[in-house]
Amino acid sequence: MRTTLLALLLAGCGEVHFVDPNPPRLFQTAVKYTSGAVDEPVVWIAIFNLFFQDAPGCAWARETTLSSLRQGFGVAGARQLELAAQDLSPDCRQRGQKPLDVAAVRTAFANAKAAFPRAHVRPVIVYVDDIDLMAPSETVSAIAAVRSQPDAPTLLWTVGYEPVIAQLRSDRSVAWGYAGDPALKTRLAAAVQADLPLQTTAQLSSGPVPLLDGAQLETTREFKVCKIPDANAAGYPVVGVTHVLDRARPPTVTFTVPQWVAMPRSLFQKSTYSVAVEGCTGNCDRYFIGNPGDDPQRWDEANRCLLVNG
Amino acid sequence: MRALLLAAALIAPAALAQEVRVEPRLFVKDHHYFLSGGLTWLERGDYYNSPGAVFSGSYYLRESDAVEIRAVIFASWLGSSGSQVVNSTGLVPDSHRPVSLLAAGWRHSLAYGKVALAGSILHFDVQGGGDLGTLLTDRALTPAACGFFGVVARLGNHFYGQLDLALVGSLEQRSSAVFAVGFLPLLTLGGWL
Repeated sequence: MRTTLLALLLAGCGEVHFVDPNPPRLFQTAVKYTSGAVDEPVVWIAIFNLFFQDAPGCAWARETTLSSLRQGFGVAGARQLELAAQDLSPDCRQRGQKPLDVAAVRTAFANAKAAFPRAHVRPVIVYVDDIDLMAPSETVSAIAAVRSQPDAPTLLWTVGYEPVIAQLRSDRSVAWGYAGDPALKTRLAAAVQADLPLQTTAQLSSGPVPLLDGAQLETTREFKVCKIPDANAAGYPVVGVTHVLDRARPPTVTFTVPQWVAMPRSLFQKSTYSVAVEGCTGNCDRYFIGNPGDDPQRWDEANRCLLVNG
Repeated sequence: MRALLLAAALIAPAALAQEVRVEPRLFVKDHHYFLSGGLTWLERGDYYNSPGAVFSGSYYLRESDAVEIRAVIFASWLGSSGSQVVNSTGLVPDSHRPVSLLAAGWRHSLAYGKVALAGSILHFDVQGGGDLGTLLTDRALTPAACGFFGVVARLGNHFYGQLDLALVGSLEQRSSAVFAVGFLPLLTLGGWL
């Protein structure tokens, strides 16, 4: 044991490595770009299919529920347009008593688009059903018909019980409690905050993103791009190769951003790109030694980044 | 038997007449100052050639123990292999160039002896000890320690020679912090008071 320790001590003692007294002055930087998003206007329509035993209370139940929906959507905070609601059981006696006016809904959607000509309007259909049974097939078909138009994609939110929610395959569901439930607006507001306003990618191209900032442009003499940043990137200097900085034409990279149109916030993803750059401000032809004992490499002759990749 | 007794009777007076003489210790160090100067060479595999001049002073608190102080001034230069690398690549060793060593410590006599040498008697002490101090380099003042084993020999009245074989260790910041160990033989001549 003592012999081993002594041997290790002697072997590790006084190792001498050669170093460059004037090593290359290097820095590394990561250029990041994150795509932006724009808020789309919130357009929504309520479709009621309520059953209420107390016939005189039908109107109250409907209005109370509509009020909760309005308060819930109010938290979206963006431009809003509430379309005229449809009531499939006007006297609350039988679900699906009145068919959904598909043409009227489509017209309302078209008008909404016209109201926001520069926006990507994607209406939210809020179907409210207070029966713990599957919805009438006519109603389901009519809602499907409204949603089937490719030029007017919609989102379907269901306020109801599980059988209806599952049957309609809603984009989002809110549990029904009871008529006049004061907590309904809170549950709806949570859904609104999660998904609205809908998000659209702001720009499809990043435009030229500078690889070096102003201060770095002043001091950098040579640089390397360390890794291919992304398949969607273009216009960047050859990777790994030493480039002499031309201050008249600073290096840039351009990203093509995948487009997301009127996506719920919970599904929308901003695209983030990062490019690693290694710059040299002096002694660029001198030796870089990563760790003591490593082979010295002339920085400008190594076809890779040395700080970033080691 | 008779013959044996006769022989014993003849030899015994001669034997009784022979004196047993014990030479008193000539090389007495107790409560004496020993001052010397000489040459040295630090070898620690650092690509530097490091000869030096050494000055040493000891005071013996008793016959076998002394406190001492040493000062070494090195005239170091980069050796040929190191120079070749410097000239061809511009790279330099990360080891420091030794400039001087200042250390103080203790030395202890392990044995006293004498030897007949070229018709004369050489009195000497075999000694060992250790010092703590600092190794000044071209870049820093580094803590250093050394342990040694050597011989101190009386060369005449108030004149002596000393050869120490020392191991010197110093904590040096190279590419990383290392404990550099070197071999330091020291040969000095001097006198005592």
